[in-house]
Amino acid sequence: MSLFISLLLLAVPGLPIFAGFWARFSSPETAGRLTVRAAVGSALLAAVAGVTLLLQGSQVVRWAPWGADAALAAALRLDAVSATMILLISFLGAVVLRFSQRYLAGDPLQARFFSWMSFTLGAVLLVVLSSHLLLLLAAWIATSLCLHRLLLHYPDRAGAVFAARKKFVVSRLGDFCLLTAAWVLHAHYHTFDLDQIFAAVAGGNTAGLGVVGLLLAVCAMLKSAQFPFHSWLPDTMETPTPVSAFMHAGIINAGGFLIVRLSPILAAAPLASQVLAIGGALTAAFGAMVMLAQPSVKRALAYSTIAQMGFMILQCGLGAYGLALLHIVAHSLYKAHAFLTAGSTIGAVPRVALPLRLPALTVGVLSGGLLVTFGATVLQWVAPGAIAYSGVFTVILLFAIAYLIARAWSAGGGVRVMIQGWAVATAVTVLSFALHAVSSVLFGHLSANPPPRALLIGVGAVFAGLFLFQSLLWRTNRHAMGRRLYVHVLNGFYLGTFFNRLLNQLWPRHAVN
Amino acid sequence: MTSPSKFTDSPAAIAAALSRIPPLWPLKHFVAVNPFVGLVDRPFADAAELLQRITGAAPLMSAADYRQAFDKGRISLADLEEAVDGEWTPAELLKALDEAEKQSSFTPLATVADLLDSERPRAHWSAFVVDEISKWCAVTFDENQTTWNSPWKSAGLFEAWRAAAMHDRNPEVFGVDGFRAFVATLPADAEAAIGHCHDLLNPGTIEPTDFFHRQLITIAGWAGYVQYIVREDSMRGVANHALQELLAIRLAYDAALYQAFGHDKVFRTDWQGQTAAAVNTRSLTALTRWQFAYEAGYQRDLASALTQQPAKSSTSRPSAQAIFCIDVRSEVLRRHLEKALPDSQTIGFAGFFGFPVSHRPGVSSVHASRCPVLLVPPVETCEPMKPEAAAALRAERASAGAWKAFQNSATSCFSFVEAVGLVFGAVLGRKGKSKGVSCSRVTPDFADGPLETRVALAAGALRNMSLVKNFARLVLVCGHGSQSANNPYASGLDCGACGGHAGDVNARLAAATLNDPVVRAGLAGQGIVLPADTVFIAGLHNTTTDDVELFELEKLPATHRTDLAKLHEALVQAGRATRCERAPVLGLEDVPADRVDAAVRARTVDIAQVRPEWGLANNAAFVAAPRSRTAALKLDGRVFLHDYDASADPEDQVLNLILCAPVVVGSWINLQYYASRIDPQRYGSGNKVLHNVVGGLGVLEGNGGDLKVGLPLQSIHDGANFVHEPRRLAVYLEAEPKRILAVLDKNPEVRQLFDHEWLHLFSLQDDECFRYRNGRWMRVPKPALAPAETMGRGRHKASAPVESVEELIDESSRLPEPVLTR
Repeated sequence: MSLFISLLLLAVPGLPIFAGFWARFSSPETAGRLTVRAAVGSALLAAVAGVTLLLQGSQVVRWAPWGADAALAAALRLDAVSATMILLISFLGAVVLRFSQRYLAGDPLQARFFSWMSFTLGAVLLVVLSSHLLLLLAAWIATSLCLHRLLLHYPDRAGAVFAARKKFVVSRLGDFCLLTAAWVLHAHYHTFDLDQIFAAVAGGNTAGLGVVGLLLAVCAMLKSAQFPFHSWLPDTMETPTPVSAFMHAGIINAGGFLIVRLSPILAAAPLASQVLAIGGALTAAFGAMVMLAQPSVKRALAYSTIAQMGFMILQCGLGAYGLALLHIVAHSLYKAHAFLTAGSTIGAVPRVALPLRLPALTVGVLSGGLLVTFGATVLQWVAPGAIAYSGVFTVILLFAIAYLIARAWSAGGGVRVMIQGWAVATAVTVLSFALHAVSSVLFGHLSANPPPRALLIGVGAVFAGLFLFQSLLWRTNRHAMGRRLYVHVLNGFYLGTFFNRLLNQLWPRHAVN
Repeated sequence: MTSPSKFTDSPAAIAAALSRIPPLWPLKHFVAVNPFVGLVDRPFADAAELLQRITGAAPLMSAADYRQAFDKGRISLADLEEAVDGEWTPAELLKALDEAEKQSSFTPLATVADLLDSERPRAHWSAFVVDEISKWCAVTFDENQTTWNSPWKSAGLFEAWRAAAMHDRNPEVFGVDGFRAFVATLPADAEAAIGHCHDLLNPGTIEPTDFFHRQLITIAGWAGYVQYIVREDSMRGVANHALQELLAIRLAYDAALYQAFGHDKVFRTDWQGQTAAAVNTRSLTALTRWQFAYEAGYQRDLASALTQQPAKSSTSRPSAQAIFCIDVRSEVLRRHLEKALPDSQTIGFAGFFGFPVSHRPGVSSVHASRCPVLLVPPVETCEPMKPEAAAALRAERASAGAWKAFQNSATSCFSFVEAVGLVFGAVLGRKGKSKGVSCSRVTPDFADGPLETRVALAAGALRNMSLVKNFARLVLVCGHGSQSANNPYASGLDCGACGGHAGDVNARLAAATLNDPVVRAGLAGQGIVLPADTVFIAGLHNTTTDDVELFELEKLPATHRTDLAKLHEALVQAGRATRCERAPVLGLEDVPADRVDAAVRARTVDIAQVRPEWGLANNAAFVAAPRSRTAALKLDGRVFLHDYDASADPEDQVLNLILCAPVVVGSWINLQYYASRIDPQRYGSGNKVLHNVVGGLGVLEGNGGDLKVGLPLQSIHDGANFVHEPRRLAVYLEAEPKRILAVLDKNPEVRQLFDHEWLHLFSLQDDECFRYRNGRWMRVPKPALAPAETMGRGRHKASAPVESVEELIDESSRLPEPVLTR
């Protein structure tokens, strides 16, 4: 059986990597067919792995010819986290590759595109399956380098080269953090095998975890485009749409995944967790505000991703690893769709913030409070453990529901739309809590000590602030301060420009062209 | 600053520069536009010189392209002979081509940003300035794509920019010291600001008009969009100075850069010493002759094919008539329909069918023009809706808006993703659903249009399409529209004559009006008698699938059911035949015949399909003649077909209209394709896979930069080759040369298009065809006949000696290109 699992887990990343090599030397049509089939194959195998997991529970397969402690070893892991991730990523890979068959038809470099896309897919799959730090690090770096080739799909576009360089610098900083973390871990635990490290941590040995946790936190925040290192992400629109779709859906959440995967370490590193929580909350608020002012669809989507990644990192920082994973899955599917349909923006439903008055807001907040209290009570009854770590997220849900109902009330569609608003809000509440329950069942074993109360209150305050800001958005332009704020927000508080200037000093323009 | 002020010549120079900018329509109703519309008052070669000097590239293919066409026999010696204009011999043209091939790229006039970039390896000013202006234009003109709108949206462009720029730290963060302080010193009036910046910049000996033109060209896309707004206003008698304001903004960035870096002596000297580089006009003129030669072969072949066809229509009553748009895509379907329904007649007319209306769909509060963009629609129409239906539609919109707000707000986007995100997994795995192409739910209504207006519109429509007698029992008025998914350029595939919309509204309006007994009574009073058994129905040709949707068949009298059944069957057959004819160019050549229908239809819902159809690619000619001239010819969807019967037009009114409206619109489409093909980066909108929709009105390519103009690369290129061959439109009119000339003399703005070689003009007379050239008419040689003889007012110049080139060229390898098959 172990051989079966080994082969299965090897084949999941192996198929796309193999197809990637083959695609390199094929016609675009063949390359497309090959890589799509490999990705579909991976997805099917991932489903098989999922069934295996249900039947036999978590497993780790190791190749350690020189002993499990040796640096040169490898381990792949099948558990709820990796099974979820490989299913998600191979599905997205298949969708995006299939899309590219027609979307990039006629592109002179289409075969090369399929090849690098398939390599990238394989590398990400390897990241999520790794149970060995060096393997994880190697796959981590490989992902970034393969993606780099995709970002340079049009190497004669100066903007593409610039964005790829910016991303390159950030990624190498992240790699450095991860490498150092692995080295520190090895220094303390004398192994790169995650299971052995986790076992030692569970046994009470938490030596060096403070530093490692911080390194991992910084690495995750660099990978997942957290403030203030986010500005490379909106710059990568110089790459074909399917690359953006895959990057925003399958790659950028690797920061969150890293934290979830190494959650036993983070759970024992409270300072790092707090850094994550504060950085994530800040990024969520920053991204969500900047997103509102962006006039181009892909830039708005990029800031939306930054915000959502901030939310994911926040969940990681608060120890809600299960919810973070749920967020990764949901966001990936949503964002892949959003990018692939980004051409449908003309004539879409207008987005402008309409006036929102106090009665509607009051109804919204009251109904939201009622719905969420009801949902939380039911959840408490169904899955007693779940509510413990989703308290602050319940409050965030309350604000969201309140906003939805307030919008439906002031949309000018009469009673029918108001009732619809309630119905939809109820459905959203039920869905949210149901998914919280599911995630607590699937990933309940990943847990951390509750975060400090002050932190929770702070996070709650940030989201209360966002609710107030959004509710008053239609009035901001009437005030001088609001107008100034608009200019700064539109420009993303100038961080992108600042880093652009810095990077220009590093590389002269003539080298770009 | 002690520089001599040019402020006094400013207004005229500014106006001249602004007039050179072509408008750019927003994507919600994108229509083709002649990118050289501001330059048609000068000969093509002069415009080429101007564009090269100011933008760096002439509107021609590269010398290497012409060389290749010549080497492949695509341009023959006969073509060169026809192209030489007295000053050249074919041998000289070949020599000039050699020289042109050796020329290196041309450096146009520089802006301050350009010059700084060329002198400093770490500078990125040109791109930065474009990004900044693009940012401010996008937020000022945004059409509901953004949630947080600019606070200065309702202010004028310059005022909005000035207010915002005073808070904008971006230029300073990037290194323009003192930018906000500089903006504060600018006059609040745009024209004064232009003068202020011009004096500050003091661009030496550069002509102010060229200087301003160059500045605007760096942001050509937004300048085009602003020109569109200005044009819409001025057509309705409203003065709008937004383009001048945009120029002021562009100059302000250059002036701010000059203030920040002008202390550098070397730079300052270089800037003030800048002179416009001289264009090699002889070489450029030679290339324009080559372009002429590139076009000549097809034109001769078409002329010869047309002259071999009869010019007289039959007078027996057709079994059915179908009126289609002149659009080149109609030609294929018409040909197959005529084959499928014997004794039927198809008619070509501009797809608004003579009903220029401003239409308000559904519960919308805005009207949109559904007529050629040359007109201001005189009539308003709406979609009559029952109050309950309107309320339901409003509620639907309101709840969609609330849902969208939930999805996109800063407070709820996180919960939205968590609760609903998984659903998108199912959406991603699913195939798209067809929503159909027509947008009108019911026949539109003249709001309160007086009867006289409706009768006048109906009479004008019938007269202008030369359909005043011999009506069939069933007449189909068939508009067209295109169906594609996830395509920002969807409206560009719709009917240009309906202002970038599908033609269903106009077709339904035309059919309803012509069926109206009261209108018919009025028509009879004007001498147009419609038989009592003639019934009009409306339809819509889906140009992606070639299906024809027919409207409101339940209103058709029972007496006409058989006629309808026959027509319907014929349309189905014709659609199938058209799909099969088009399948190879859609990349479906390997698809078995029985699966072509499904494969073509699948494209319409495929979100990954960047080439849903080829639109008007490869359009090359415009024929206004009785259908008998073209009915037997397979024209490959390359020709605009307008029905015209000169014998029914003694006053030349219809001829005048054809030359002033459909021909001009045809030339806009043609030159849009021409320009997008010869220079896809400058005149086209670039690569669709990088498109980034901005402001709900246009696209950026990639991350930022200027708004893109023209057609995407995927509309003219199939990946391996260009699908569109850049040819200026050849207009063939079935009318006596002297009558054409008389009409042209009355319309100098149309005449200059032909005189300046922006398009070509031919007159068809029985079995002869004459080419118009510089006020003269020349007989187009028939195949295997002697060279053209002189006719009319001019004298044909002696043909150039060919002996000198014969050693260079193997005559036998240059077969004329087979473009027409019977």
